[in-house]
Amino acid sequence: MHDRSTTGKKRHPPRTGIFFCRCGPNIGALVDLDRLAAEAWPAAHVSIQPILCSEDGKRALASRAREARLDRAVIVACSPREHEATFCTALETAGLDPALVQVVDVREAREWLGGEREDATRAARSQIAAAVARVALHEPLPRAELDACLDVLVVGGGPAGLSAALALAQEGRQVILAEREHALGGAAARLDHLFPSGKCASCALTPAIDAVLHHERIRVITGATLMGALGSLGRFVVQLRIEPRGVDAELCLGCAECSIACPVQVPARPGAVARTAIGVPWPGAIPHAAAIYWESCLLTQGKECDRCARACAAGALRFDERPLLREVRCGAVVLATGAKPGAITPTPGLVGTWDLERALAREAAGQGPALADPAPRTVLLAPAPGAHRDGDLGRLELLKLAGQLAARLEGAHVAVVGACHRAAEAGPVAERLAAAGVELLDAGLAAAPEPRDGRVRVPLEGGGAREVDLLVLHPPSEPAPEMADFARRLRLGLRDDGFVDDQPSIFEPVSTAVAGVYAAGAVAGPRPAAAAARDGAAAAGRILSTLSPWARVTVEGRAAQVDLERCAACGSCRSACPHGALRPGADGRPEIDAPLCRACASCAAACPTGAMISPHYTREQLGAELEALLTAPPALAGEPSASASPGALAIDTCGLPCPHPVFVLANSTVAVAPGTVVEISGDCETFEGDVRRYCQRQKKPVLAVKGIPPRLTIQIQF
Amino acid sequence: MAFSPRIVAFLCEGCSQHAADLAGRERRGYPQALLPIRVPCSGRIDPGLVLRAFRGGAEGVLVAACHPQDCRHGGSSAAEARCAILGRLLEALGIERARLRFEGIGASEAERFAAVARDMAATVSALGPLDYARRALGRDPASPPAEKAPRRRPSRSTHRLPRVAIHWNAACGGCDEAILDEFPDLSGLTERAQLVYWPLAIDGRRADVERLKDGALDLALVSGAVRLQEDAEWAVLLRRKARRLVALGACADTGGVVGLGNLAGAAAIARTARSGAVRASPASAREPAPLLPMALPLSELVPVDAVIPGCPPPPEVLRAALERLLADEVPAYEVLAPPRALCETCPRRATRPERPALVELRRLASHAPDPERCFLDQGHLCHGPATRQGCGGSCIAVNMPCRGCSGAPEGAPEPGAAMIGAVGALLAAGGLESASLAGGLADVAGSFYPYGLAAATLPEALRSEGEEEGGP
Repeated sequence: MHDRSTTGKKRHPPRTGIFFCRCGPNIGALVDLDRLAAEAWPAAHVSIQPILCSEDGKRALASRAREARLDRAVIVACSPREHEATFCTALETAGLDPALVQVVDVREAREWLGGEREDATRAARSQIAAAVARVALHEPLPRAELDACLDVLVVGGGPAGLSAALALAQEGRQVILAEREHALGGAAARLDHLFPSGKCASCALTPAIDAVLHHERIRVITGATLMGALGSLGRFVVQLRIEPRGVDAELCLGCAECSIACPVQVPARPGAVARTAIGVPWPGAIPHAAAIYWESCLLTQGKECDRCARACAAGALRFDERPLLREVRCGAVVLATGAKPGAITPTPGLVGTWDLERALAREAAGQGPALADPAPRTVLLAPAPGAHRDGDLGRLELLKLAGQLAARLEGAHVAVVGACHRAAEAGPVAERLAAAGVELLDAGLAAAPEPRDGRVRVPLEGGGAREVDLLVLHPPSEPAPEMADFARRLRLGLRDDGFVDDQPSIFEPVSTAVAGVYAAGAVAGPRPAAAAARDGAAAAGRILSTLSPWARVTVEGRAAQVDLERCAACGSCRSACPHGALRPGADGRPEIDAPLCRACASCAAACPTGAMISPHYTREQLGAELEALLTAPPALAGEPSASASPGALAIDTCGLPCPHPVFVLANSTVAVAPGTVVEISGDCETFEGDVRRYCQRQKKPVLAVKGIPPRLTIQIQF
Repeated sequence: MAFSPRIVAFLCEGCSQHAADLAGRERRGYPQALLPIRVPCSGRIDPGLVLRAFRGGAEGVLVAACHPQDCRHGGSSAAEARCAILGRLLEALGIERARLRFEGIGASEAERFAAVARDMAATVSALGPLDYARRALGRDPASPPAEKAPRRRPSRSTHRLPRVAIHWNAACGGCDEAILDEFPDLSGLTERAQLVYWPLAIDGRRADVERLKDGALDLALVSGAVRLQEDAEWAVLLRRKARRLVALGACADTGGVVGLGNLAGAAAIARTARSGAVRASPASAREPAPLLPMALPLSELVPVDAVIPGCPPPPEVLRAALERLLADEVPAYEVLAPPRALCETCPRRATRPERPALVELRRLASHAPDPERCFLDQGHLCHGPATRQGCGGSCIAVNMPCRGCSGAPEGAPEPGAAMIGAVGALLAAGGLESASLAGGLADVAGSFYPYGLAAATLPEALRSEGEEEGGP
């Protein structure tokens, strides 16, 4: 009773047209279209067309709509997911806004269900009545367009992110590069040498990092993690959490005095080097400035300490910096957040590849030896169980390390097991290694290695075991743990191994399930630095071609609206909005960011005062639809029309040009029982010849040809 | 002919429409009982729509959504929570749980869709016709509930004092007392009006009113729900005699707490009265007066010209309303209280989070609310978002959540369903287990419909009759 004042009446009664489609022979055996068309509809036009989605059908649709001056249309045909767009496009030529068309599905949802003709026809009538009632309340929904945002957010500053950022900036795009660490380069920057060139990793990466840091169109944000993203291609709002460095990077000299003064020794994994609560992220890190590791700093634990500040000659410490949440608006996102390197707990005589890499890199920076003393005389390198998940990365990494170790441990016996030399692109390197005396074996680990008085016994497949001074194992990489959560929230789509699916189809490389979000590098699975950089460039290319300078963003015509007069600012709508399209505005009332709205209409059901309006699915429209759906009279009007009786099938293809009659014939006789007489009528010039040829091929006798050309009816015995 | 049920099937664009199309295309075969309504997301299906389907004659309602964890809009969890609450509500009204079904159906799950449709059709067929109207009314909905008074056009009053009658139907007397509080010695009222009939304050008999010419009264204020046969007669009588009939207070407006009696039904009420288990005095333990099959709001029986909401109407609202009514300044149907929802003026609104969420539902009996924070944010069901202002938040001032006595804000949907809609969204925003949380709620009807049950759950057949005649 409270709704009384709200249901406004249309000023002019609508002129609705109802178009029935027989869908060739598809609709009619169960749903009695002739009888339905004969009902007393509140409509300005009712007609039945043989195939409404055909060229003739669409022409008829438009011309009837024009002739009858229709301002609404109800189409009784197949599922709207099939041809709604077809019908709307056709009617648009007659001046009808697509929002003023309602499609009633009597094929998938009725004709093809089976059952009684009477039941199906009655239910179809209810559906049509509901559509007629609903369409009368429809309003045109103009679509707005906005310029797309051309800026790009690159998340992750490893090889993939660096190469994407550079390629985009070179083409004139503004780029924000968000990196979780306080230094760029990603996992690759902490390697010693790169495969296969054997080039020093920092030598390979530094020029790119330098270019990125000094590019006028690239803004680098370090300490930034991805919290969430809203929107779609051309219009993203991404939330970043920015962990402060705690050090003014401009002033910091990277002298490490702070690190020496820091009393904290972060309990490291056994064998790994302990870390202090402040310091340059890793030797040779760029920007070469210290950062505070807040999670281990005494200040975070509420204790007093300023030793680093006192030690800093440059006065660069900034303890008062706090984490902040920031929103970045951009048109596309490149996810280049990498993978989490696998970890192996080092024991005497056993080391993981990633730990060895870091030790070698530290040694190169003059920070202590990488290998224990005395130097190992026998070395075995092997993929750890499960390392095959890393693709060729692990095997290539082991080969590379074997070469490095063989070179520095003169006279030592180095062996690589696990068929590493058979990896793709391993050929030339393997040859060099073999020539240098490195043993390359196909057999892999048969069981877990056992420590033996500082040495390691390694059981191998095919029997036998080796006892070595040093075993280097490559553990499988893992997806970054926070990525899984983010992917779920963004519906990115993960593969079974937990990495982002970066190829939804073959012509969409480095893509994700979300348009506008690209995946480059190890975020989509472990890969060498060179491959990651290639991905980054590919992502940049895809963005430049997709998000072109003239790209536009369509604002959903059904985007939510709010009647501020009714709104009491309770906030329920915001709870219901998963897309961040509703923000608190004046007095806590919602403000609608229309481009972010995906028109799910959830806010309308959550709003207790009816202030949130979901166009096309308003309370009034759905209410009218529901009411009409349920208030049909029990009996159908008119007599049942003759349906195709079992044993005979009539197909009308009049109006269809060649080769459609034959297609319709073929399609509609798939399930015809042998012995059925099929009657097909048509009026195309080549109709008779086409049907006869088809029957000849199918070995179905033609019983009779009736009618006056061009309109003929052919009887076929099936 | 065998009974073929009508099942309204809400299908979401994200998943279940795909599954339904696929089920048809693959000729999976399921009964013709399903009548589809397409929605962009199951989150759009507001509880009012589901209730309306039942009231309108559906024997079952299927809410086919995405699997809650797969819903790209997150609306599926809200729909699931709403269905859990609605299921309990319908159960309290004697409608079998199986008639409302929530199902998560993935886009490719054609067979699952067909199986659900088959199963639901079979279950509902076995349950038989719902016949909601007959069940709710205890009589054939086709026969009119009572004699309906012809609608009269209110004309401008002449220069004499307006002639006023004040009557209580099934009421506690609080509304009458509220008037008395405004005019403690009656002089303020008698200066402005000629009191023709008011059993609380002056003598008066039904025969006196019956003797009046039709339309002789300028104003009739009627409080209380229509519960007894006699109440219905009075409603019709006063409608005939008064140019302007005003529903005074929550019971006349929406049935009020009297409406909760519809959960038990007239027979049970009469039985209890006869048993003497509840009685004010030994004298009242007698055969109860003849009851109507269900308690009704006044407007369901006769057209009403204005409503003064509240339990009882708050002094400011009552004063302003009487001022205007006595001055004959209410030309068209109007609810005589501020139009918007209470939430807007709540002193605690600043404590409402930007994106409210419910992670538990608390009862006052076991959890005392924090006196500063938003009740809903604490998990206490507060009807403030769905209730009309005017009371000045007097309950909130004494740390009681709003119970919704002032009815729906202007143009708002029926408040109980609106609250279920909002709570569904807040539960979904709160995270997992929202459906079980919602399903575990105690006393759903009493919690969501403390005042509006009689108005909200009436069958459409009866409602639309009132609609035709009772419009502004």
